[in-house]
Amino acid sequence: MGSLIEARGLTKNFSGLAAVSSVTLSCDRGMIHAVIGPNGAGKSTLINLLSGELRPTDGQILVDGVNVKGYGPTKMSLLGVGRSYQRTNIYPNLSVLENCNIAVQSRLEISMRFFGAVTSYPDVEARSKQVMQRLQLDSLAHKKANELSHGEQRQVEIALALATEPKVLLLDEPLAGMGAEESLRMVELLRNIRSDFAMILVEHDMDAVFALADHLTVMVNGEVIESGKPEVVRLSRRVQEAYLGGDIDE
Amino acid sequence: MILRKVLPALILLGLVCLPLWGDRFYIQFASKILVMIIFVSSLNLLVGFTGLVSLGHAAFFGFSGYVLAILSPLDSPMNFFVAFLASILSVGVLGAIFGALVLRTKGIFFIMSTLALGEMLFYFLHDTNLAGGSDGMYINVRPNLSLFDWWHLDLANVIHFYYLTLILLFLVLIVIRRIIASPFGRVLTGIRVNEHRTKAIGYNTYKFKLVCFVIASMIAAVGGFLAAVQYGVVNPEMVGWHVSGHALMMVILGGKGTVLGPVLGTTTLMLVEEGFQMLTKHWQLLTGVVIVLVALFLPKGLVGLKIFKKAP
Repeated sequence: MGSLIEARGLTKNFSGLAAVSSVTLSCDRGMIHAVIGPNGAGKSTLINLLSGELRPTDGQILVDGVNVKGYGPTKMSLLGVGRSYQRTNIYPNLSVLENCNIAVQSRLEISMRFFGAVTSYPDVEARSKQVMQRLQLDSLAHKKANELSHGEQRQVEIALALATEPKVLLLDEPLAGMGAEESLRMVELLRNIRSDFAMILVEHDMDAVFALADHLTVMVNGEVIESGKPEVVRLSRRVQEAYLGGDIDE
Repeated sequence: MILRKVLPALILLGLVCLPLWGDRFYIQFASKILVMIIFVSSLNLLVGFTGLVSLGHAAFFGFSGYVLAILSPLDSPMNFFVAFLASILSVGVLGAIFGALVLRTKGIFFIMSTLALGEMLFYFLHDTNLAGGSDGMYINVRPNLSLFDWWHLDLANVIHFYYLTLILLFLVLIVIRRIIASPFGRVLTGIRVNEHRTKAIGYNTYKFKLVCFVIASMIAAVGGFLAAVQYGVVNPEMVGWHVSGHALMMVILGGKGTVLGPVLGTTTLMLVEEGFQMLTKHWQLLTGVVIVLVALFLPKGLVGLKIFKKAP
């Protein structure tokens, strides 16, 4: 059985510099595959490759067995690959509900309808409400996104991805900039939704990573230096060197 | 509160009754404003609702008039409906071609490429003899608007023309309002607020922008068609960037991204300009002062005035 998402020998060069070099990984439904590594390890580049925002220099990406060579972000999204961003990338001056509505509508074939009012498609709002409930945003539905706390905005960030009903979720540092309490809450939310997706999680917060991940890949300077069960990987000498300031530059 | 409910009705009544007491000059001037509102509203669909700032929108306004002028026979009237459809559809095709090119660019490059295409059309009309060159073309006999001989509008009659324009303006505003409130309009909002994310959640934003661009060009064509009928003449200046820039100013003055904004902006600017022209030959200086004051004190445009605020 193939995985929901799989990368084989994925490489990205930026003018000669290999930001990601021959990375191979995979993830299946219900599984959280965490990718960690020091700053500049190429984790965000990896997410950008997997979501179609960057084109790989070499290697393949397979989504549910389909080779997605040449797919941009729009096609990847329609194929079922949702993503969140490290820097919050939502619709700031729209309400949380409207944020979700835009994302939900992308799955319904009504976006080229010009004359019926949006209110004549109650389906959209019903689905948005489900998404908001899953992310505990329902009480904030009518608040503008830019009036929310940072932690709540991060939840909207995930909500936009969820609202597109993806099979694969690529999460680029969902806990970025969060306080301890907000982080715990987000970990809890991710735990609640994990069974429905194949999740690839890039994260710096080690407590969160070890609380969530089934599989752990460690990247340094664009390369995978270790990959396996979290409890095994954390004991690896190379990983400890990378993190505790061995020979490898941060 | 009562004022808010009664005012629109009073304004509508005033607009309908205007030809009864106004003299010829004022009726013509009022028609000119209504035509301009149609054009400015179409630009607002791009600038205000989708976030596409175009400096070449007059290309569609002027080209529409040119289609009418080219199709009109020298000594007999054209059927209004045929001429109208021909103008709107030709402009739709032009809009699709222009849009397909300029929408490959973003931000300042979008502004520059719309400006460039508009000016190319200007010089094409100005420097070739295909459509009258720099003098433009005359529409000797205005189109004939009649329904099966029992109903007839004489478009050379200022009052008849005024009512036609008023009706078309209302239709245009209703169409724009419905588009904005539709699922399509929701995607336009997404593109305006955050195009990057809109792409990432599965919208081919290029396609949506192109459709919007074509719709906006066709609405501009309605205005251009009426302008050509009103004066019976078209010239290259109609497609020039001055017209686009003027309309852009009206969008911003009135308040972009609202249906009411272009109505207020266009009416105010045209009245202010007309008033100052009667006072002094340095009227542009005074107009500039008004624009700067609005920009300083009403950053959302005239729709930001208290009387236009929606009750909570």
